[in-house]
Amino acid sequence: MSYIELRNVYKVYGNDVLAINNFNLNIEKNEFVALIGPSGCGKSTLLRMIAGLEEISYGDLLIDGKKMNDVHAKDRDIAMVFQNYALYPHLSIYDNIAFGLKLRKVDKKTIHEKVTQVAKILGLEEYLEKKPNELSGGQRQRVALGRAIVQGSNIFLMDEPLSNLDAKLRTKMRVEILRLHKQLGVTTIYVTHDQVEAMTMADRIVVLNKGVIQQVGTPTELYSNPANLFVAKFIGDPEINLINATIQNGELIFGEYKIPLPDTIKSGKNYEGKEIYLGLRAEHFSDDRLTVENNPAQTITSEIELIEMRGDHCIIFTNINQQSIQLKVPADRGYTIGDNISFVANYDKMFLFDKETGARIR
Amino acid sequence: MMEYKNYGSLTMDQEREIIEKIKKEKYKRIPLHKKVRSTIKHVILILVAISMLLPFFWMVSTALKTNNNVFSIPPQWIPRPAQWSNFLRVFDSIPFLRIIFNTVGYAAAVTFFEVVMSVIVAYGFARFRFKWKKPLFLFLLITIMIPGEITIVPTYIFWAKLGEFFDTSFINTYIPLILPAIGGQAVHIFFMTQYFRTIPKDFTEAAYMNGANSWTILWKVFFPMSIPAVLTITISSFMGTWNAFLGPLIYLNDVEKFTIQVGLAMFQGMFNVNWPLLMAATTISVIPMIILFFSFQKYFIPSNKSSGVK
Ligand SMILES: Nc1ncnc2c1ncn2[C@@H]1O[C@H](COP(=O)(O)OP(=O)(O)OP(=O)(O)O)[C@@H](O)[C@H]1O
Ligand SMILES: [Mg+2]
Repeated sequence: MSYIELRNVYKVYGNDVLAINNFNLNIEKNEFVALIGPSGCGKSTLLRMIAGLEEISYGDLLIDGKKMNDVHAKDRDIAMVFQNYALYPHLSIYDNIAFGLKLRKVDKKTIHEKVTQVAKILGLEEYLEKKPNELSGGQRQRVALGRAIVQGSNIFLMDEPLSNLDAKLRTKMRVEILRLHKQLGVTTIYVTHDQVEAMTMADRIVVLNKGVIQQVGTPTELYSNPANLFVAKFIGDPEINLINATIQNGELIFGEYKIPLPDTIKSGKNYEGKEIYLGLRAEHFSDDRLTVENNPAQTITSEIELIEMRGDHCIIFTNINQQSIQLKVPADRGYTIGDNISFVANYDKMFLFDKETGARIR
Repeated sequence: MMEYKNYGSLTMDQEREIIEKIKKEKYKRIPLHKKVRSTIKHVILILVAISMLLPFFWMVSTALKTNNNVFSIPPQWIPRPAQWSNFLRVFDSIPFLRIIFNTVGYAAAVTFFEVVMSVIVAYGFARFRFKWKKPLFLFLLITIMIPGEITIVPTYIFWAKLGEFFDTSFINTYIPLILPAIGGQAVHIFFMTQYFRTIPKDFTEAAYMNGANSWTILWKVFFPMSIPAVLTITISSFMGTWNAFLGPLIYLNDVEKFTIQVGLAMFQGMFNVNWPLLMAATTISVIPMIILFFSFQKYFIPSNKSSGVK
């Protein structure tokens, strides 16, 4: 039995919006799970159903083995961090953190102890008397976290908590939230549409699209073994390269290039003569001189259209048969735009996708 | 324009120097027609301000005159000698102190009910879904458009008949003046509804997750977050009641029960008006308004940094 269980959960808004479609997931105690997907895919909806802010249209939510569908939000042992923080502008930071405890009629002394302790954890001691509008974005974010922590709940729900922060602060708060998670050991469900956030923070990632789970797995699993085209495209930066290719007589053909079809391909015969996608990530190419010289037959040469500098490496924008692709190469190669680049693809790593259904066929 | 070799952080003085230079540059770059337009704007504003203050000044000035030199030509702006005793005579000629107390009580009661009830009703309109919500809200707006003068006679008859029904009389009491406030005030309900609608859902939900019910959320979240709006309707209610004339005039008969506005009318006889006393009484009657306005002025000027939501 898992700590949180979602069984065949559906959500219907009004008469015609199916926001969540047969959602099944087990979450273990102390786990950090990220929910990720494009805008409107139902992430917030799912989180709000777990929180008790939204009714579950069909299916069950179990926490610690008990059915929670009809339990009031306040009795679910859940604390939530809202995207907009929802700090009360008329209350001091102290009172903002204490707000929930006061509503729950905790006695003053206990409140004081808890708030002081939480403020210490988050480094907010000097700000307790201030009002939210006197704080920076990062500090407000921390107050919002404090408000969740102070309740001593066993489950945290966070809905894009970092989306209002600038990139640098986001990285910093990411680490801070992770540190808190380690320190407090609270089961966390974290909603984001930023795959980097999900990859760096989560024990497991749930990829959602149009209310349907696409894949559940560790960051590594999702990256190196995506279940379908959607996940492959969604995870990874730069985005995976997709090249139109055809299967013919046991060979994969794209433009002037031919490679033997790997025998691991599922139901290869069905795809005979059909167009499919060949997926290769940017780092699955090599422009290393030795490698290129040793594989003259497989070397591809094309013109560099754009170079994106990223510090220790750079992303080269070029093309294969007029289809643009991006390659990741060491930064010290000294290419300039307009140069020709010769490279070899590591076909052992390639993915193949059905073009129509997006299903992974290798 | 400026060059600083120091690419690190600047000292305070350097920074201030840059700021000063930029300010000067900025002013220089304002085109002439903009400067002219700005000057004209200010002149107009000053003229408007004067035209508003002038009657006020005339009121105080007349309050200090004798009956004879009210209309003297040329007009006396600063009366000599100033008849400070006019202010005392106001209290001798009518029970003005009593009238002031009446008015304070009347205004306070009406304001209290109108504000509290309007807030509650507005919360309902802003936060709940219920049948007929839209038609009801529309109906509310329609009532705003009916001028009060039209309803005054039927309302009077209603109260008279209601009194008969209960074997008593509501005429010459404050009941017909105060009781209707328990329904709130249409304009205020509309205003508060709009204000409440701007409060993000997150605030409600955060409180809900801690077990707050709708009533608690109203008074612990919505109400304190809407203080500027609440003050606005409070002052509006208070001023409206303080300045109400027709209602008190119609329902109240005894001088002892009068409100200020009706009391002021007593200085205007059929044939002659005692201008100095009228103006002295008027001056006294506007003092609470002025105090009220200046003490809450800062809440009217909207601040843009009051929200906890980014
Ligand atoms: N109260 C509602 N009534 C009707 N439809 C809704 C409601 N709330 C959400 N939806 C719809 O449900 C779907 C999922 O919405 P949801 O807010 O869960 O998306 P999301 O994944 O959180 O997106 P985002 O990343 O933009 O926050 C959307 O199509 C949305 O239009
Ligand atoms: Mg969302």
